[in-house]
Amino acid sequence: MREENALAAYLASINGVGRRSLYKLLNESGSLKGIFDMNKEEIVSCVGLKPAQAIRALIGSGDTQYYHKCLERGTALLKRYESEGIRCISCRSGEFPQRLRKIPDPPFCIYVKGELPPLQMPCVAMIGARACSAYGRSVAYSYGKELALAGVGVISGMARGIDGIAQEGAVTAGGKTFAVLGGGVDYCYPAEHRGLYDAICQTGGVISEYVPGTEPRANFFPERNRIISGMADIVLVIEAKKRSGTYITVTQALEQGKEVYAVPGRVTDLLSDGCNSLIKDGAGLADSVPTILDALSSYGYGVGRFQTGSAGKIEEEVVGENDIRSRILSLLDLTPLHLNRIYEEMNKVKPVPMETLITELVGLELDGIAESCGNYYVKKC
Amino acid sequence: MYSRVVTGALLGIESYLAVVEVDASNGMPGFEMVGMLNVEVREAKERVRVALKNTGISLQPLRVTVNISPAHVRKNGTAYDLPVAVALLIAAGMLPQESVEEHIVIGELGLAGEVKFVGGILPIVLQAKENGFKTCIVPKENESEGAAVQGIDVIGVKNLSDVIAYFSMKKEERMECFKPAVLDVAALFAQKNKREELDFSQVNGQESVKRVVEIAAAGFHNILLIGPPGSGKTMIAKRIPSVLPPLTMDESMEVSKVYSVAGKLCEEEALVVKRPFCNPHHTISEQALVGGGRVPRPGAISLAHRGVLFLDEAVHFSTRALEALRQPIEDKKVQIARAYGTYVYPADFMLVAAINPCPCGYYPDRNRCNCTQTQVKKYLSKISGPILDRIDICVEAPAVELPELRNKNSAESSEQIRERIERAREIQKKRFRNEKRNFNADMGPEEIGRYCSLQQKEEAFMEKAFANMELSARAYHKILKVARTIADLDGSENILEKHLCEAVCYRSVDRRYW
Repeated sequence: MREENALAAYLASINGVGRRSLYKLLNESGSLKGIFDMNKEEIVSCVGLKPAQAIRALIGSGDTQYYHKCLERGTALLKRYESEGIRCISCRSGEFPQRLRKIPDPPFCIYVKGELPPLQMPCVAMIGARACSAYGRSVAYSYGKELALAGVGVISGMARGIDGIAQEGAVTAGGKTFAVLGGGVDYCYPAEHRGLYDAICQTGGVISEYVPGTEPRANFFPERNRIISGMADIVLVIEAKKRSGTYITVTQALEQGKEVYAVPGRVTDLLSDGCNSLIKDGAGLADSVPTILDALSSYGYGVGRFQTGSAGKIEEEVVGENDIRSRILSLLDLTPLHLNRIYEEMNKVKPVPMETLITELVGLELDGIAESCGNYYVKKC
Repeated sequence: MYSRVVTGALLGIESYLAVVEVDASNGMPGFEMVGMLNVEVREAKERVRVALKNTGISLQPLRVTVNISPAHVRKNGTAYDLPVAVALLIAAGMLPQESVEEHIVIGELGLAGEVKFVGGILPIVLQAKENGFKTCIVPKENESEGAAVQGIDVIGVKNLSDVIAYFSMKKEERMECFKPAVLDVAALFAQKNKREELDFSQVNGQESVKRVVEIAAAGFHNILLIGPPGSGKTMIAKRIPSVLPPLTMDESMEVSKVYSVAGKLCEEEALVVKRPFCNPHHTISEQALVGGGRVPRPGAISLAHRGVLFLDEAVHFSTRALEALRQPIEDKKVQIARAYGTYVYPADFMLVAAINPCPCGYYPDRNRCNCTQTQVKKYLSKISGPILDRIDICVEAPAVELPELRNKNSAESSEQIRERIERAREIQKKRFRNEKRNFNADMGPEEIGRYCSLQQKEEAFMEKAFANMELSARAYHKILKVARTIADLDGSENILEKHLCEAVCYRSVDRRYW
């Protein structure tokens, strides 16, 4: 198996030949080793015109010496990767994720820093907008956390916005989360997610189909999205506009035959437009984590150990008899509400001085019920 | 013959007396000016010659030497024209030397002989009075400005023939023909008390922003307003002077001196009696903002002395200009050093900065804003840490909704707010009577320890807030300072939990953005 991985590492490192060509060669020859038995005419007729250098690197024509030279190179590559904690797994390897084999246009080999999701682990891909709202942020975080707590692997792209937040939630819960990157696995992109990247490497895994050292490029991202959805059982859309990258991923997921769930939003929110219309078109309605867990159990996984939190109870305890507090709480939800707006709404019923309102809001925040971002307040969930 | 005429010169907003000495003797005809003179001073030669000719005076060919002493200080400006002309007439024997005794002469000359407006009359007249001079001859347009100084006669002249007539007269006759200018300072101050056009009663909604303005004005704290376009940031900022206590006579003099040096006082506005409000456009250069130039002139921050400096769209100001604000905010003055001397301009202003939360302006409204977190961060990073350090209060102004605007319940007027602020200022005055500070915002760590001590319960609250809200150490002092002002507004001796709560609330904004 190591031999196969080494050959795959060598083949993948050749500039100018992509995974589709390699798959064609593999199908033609039957095995990785068989590729080196092909002569020039066979290779060209199989992959078509390619850069001369790339073709030259491929032609073995049954020369055992050349085959061994390539094998050595591959082994050296593997060693170098391993010194950085990266493994290369070819599509021929038994370790290669089963789910990935089934998608159209699967990767030829994948590079992993950390581990791959265990075979028996249910996986959910959480995707959404990079520029997300506070609502999306809190939903992504709590869903990521709760799914991880229930033993579900959270797969995402470690991007800004929903992706990163969902994975952060999973990391905080101490669960497993896997990041599929649009560049080499040794490339932390975006750079500000360094901490998250390190944590994922420790507890889960960072995965990519690109050779380590490859810089992220814009056209890699739609490609890597197919791996995100491909590795998951269910694709969960947290927040997406109608015309967005997330929507493209959903289309790919449907082509791969994955089940799609979407978190509903308000009809007035542009960022929930995509989700709502997905639901209208037949996607599952992800109103809570148990809904997802139920859906997963139909795939034969034994999930459901998870218990719903007791947030509601704490609220009651702390609020108690305080009239102003309960009135404030009835106004707050997951959409940020500005101090002034709360003040106006409160005054419609019964005047409350600004200072009292602020005192109560800060009190609620310190008690962990409300959360402020600037002068906007949301209910903590 | 030798003659001397005393005149005034400026160094920053301070002035000193300079002496124009002229010697006219026989010899090869010529006109030489010495005394470390800038080009415009040297050009006085031509202006004086032609002005005298056009006034109908013909001078004999003489060898003239003009010296302006002290000769080691660089002279600039055009205010030396008139004293040079007068000294020259004395040296030529056309006016008696005694006639200029106890007089100070200042003014620029035009070719037709008219005497023109010059800047900086006010500090010069003050200086003349201190040195025991009795009369100042100044351009007509400057006379009301000079008249603001009591205890010295200020006489405005229109042209060179007036001046010659004045100095040719006997002392007794002079008073009849040339009346010293009078300025009714009391009337000026009373005029200001007329209702201001800009009033807070015109601002509906935005209660939290108005509250922040009240606190900031009471303690002279620097503030930052963050909000989408059209949320009323500018509208509110422009009304801040209307809630500040009126300028006192001393303050007015201080401010007027700066305006005088900048040449911004005129006949109608002989003294600055309103709180200054300065809102430079964001394309302003570093020099124009803090003061500068070859001959340093006061910048916008000095023109905002004792008032409000409003930086609208603060992130669009050049980084250099913004960073140049750091020292003046600390020192309350700006020092501009040149090879020939250091200029000091006062700059004790309240900084009000307004910014949009992101490039498109609508963050966090995701229906309109599509900016990524990185874009938002990058946009705001123009406000650097050191500047942010000097801002005590941040507040977000949300977008205004229609019902709020339609609300006909009239908002509080500026006068009502000002009364509360004045009460809080009184308390601060008492507190700092033995110290150099004036306001809570100026307190250093030592004074914070002395005047912002907390009770046990409040200490506990602060500890909790620190733990839960990830506040930084620098935020601690600011919260205490602001809480002190809020307590003063409340008339409370001790800082209570509710005061701290409010102060904490205004800190949470920069936690979100920075």
